[in-house]
Amino acid sequence: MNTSEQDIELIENYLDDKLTQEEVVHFNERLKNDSSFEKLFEFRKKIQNTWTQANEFESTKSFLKKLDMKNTSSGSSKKLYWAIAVAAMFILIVPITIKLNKPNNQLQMNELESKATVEFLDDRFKQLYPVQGQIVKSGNILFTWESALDVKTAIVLTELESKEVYIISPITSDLKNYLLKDTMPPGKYEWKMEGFKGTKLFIIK
Amino acid sequence: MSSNNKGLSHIFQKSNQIGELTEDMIIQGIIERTESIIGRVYQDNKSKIKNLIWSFKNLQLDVEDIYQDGFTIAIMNIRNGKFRGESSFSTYLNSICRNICLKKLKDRPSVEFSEVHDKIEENDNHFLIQKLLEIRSQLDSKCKEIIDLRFTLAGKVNEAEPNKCLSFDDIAEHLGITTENARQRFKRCLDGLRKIVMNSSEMKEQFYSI
Repeated sequence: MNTSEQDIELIENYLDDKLTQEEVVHFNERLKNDSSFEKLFEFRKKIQNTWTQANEFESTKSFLKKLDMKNTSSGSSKKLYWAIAVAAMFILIVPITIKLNKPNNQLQMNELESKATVEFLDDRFKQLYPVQGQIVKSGNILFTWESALDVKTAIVLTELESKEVYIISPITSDLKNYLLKDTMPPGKYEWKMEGFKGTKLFIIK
Repeated sequence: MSSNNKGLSHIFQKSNQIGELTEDMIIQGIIERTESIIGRVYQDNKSKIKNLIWSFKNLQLDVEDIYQDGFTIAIMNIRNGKFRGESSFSTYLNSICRNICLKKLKDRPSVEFSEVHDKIEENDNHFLIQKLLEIRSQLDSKCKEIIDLRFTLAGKVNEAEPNKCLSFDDIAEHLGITTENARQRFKRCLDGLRKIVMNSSEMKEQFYSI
């Protein structure tokens, strides 16, 4: 048995009230005169306290995670309403906005395209803005796709933290779609096209 | 709602009617572990705190994890009497989460701030707990088990004396080994834990700072 293990045994006996009166006196003398023994005793007390807190931390956090999952599952119908609402908004409002503001928006998209770095999600798809992982802080247009789409193909956006899902039906008569930044809450989003492989990330601030 | 929270149930029903929880209800609900109140406060503060975490620019933070850590610390501090009630729970939670973010930023000095953050208040307790959870994973399962028994089970058995240790006789009975084996195993494991702490400069500073 090494010295520290001997000292640990002595400390454990002290904590369990297993020392004789004489041994307790000697123990206290060592605490006063032997700094390494004092440090070991302080370590022993602190580690038990922190260990207990760590257990409490783990169990409380685990409780919150379960609570969060419960809330998430009970809020699934709410998410469905969101998805329907966002989809309806895009089907109804975005085409009107495009028609009313076509010259300006076209200009913005052209400007954006000239600056954008293109990334391919699939052979038939390219994302012009934002590029992978980019943070969107301002501007109306979030990202643009070019493709001739099947009318049933949907753009699926998932907010990674809340797991909220937004489904947007693309407008197939246009080769480009865009999304207004302010229609989405801040978050880290993963987007993909239904039926296409691969996903991309972007962040709305 | 558990049986020991019956005293609060009428308050919560009332609060549902008026749609708001008072500060007292929140604190009492946390202390009494009332799931419905904790769940509601957790959800009510979530988006605000998420926005706060997002305000830290260019840092890939796990928003959900930081929020859960912050909420956990707030709960523990309230239950341990460390929350003095000088601010609302929401403000308190906000400041804890902010401090966690600042601590992470401090560890990565190249990251820039998206707004002015004037002061970093250390949360050593949280830091220590996180570090201990990390080093605990380096222990083998038998060591973790015996230290857990010695340190924490006694506190569960006797809440009036949370620092009391479970006796080696009880540990031996629990594990189906002799008392002497339990004593030897604990000594070896605690010494192993001590050596891991000594090898971490940050941990050594915290545990040997006398």
